[in-house]
Amino acid sequence: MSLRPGAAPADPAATGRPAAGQLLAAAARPLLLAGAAGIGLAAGWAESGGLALLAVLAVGLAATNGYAKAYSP
Amino acid sequence: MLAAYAMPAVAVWLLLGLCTSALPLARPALILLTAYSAVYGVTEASDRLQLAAPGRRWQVPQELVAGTTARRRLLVWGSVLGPGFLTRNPYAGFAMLPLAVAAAGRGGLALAGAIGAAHGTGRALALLRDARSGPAGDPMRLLLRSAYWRTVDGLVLLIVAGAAVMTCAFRFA
Repeated sequence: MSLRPGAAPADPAATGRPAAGQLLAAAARPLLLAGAAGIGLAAGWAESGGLALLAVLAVGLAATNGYAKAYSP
Repeated sequence: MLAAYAMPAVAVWLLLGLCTSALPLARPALILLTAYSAVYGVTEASDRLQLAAPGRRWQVPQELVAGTTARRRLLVWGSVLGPGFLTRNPYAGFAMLPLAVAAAGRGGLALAGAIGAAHGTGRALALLRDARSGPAGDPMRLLLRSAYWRTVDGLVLLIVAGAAVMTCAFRFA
């Protein structure tokens, strides 16, 4: 493949095929989502409809949200 | 520093808790919280759907803090950033918090105070961490950290959604 004079060479990492790690991450993501929802369902069932668990989660989320906002670009 | 951020946050959130606990909002708020957490949990944790987090785009104007004393700057930053309502927030989890306060009914006041303290303290701790380690510098690193926290936020929202579904089932069935 000939390049135009002055053109940058092609990215050597851009082979058009996803790396094994990327495929693994893409496959694991739905499992992670289902796992999180499952944990919530199980914990909610154990709590028998009480609001204490939701309150604890809300306070935890508030703390991480405040902490993580420093990383917002 | 921690108090400058946490105290205004507790005050503002207590005010919100006072308003919501006086109104009959617990049931609709719980249903809304369930739907919101499920939709935004999937959006953030899957990293595929493009649904912006609800909230304001406002940022603190420079003239409010430029050329003022350190004490006044701390007061402005603490009052504006501590409660978390006024400035831009890229994570959808924040908008779930008022719904949680409303869903808590009479316990909403205590929950609101705890949320305010947690958010204000978390915000101040992040600033203290940055002050020790220096500015973030690399924008790509900042972006990757933001994506990481977005995923964490989404996963916690999904846990909340799961727990809220069971709460609805026990309460409304």
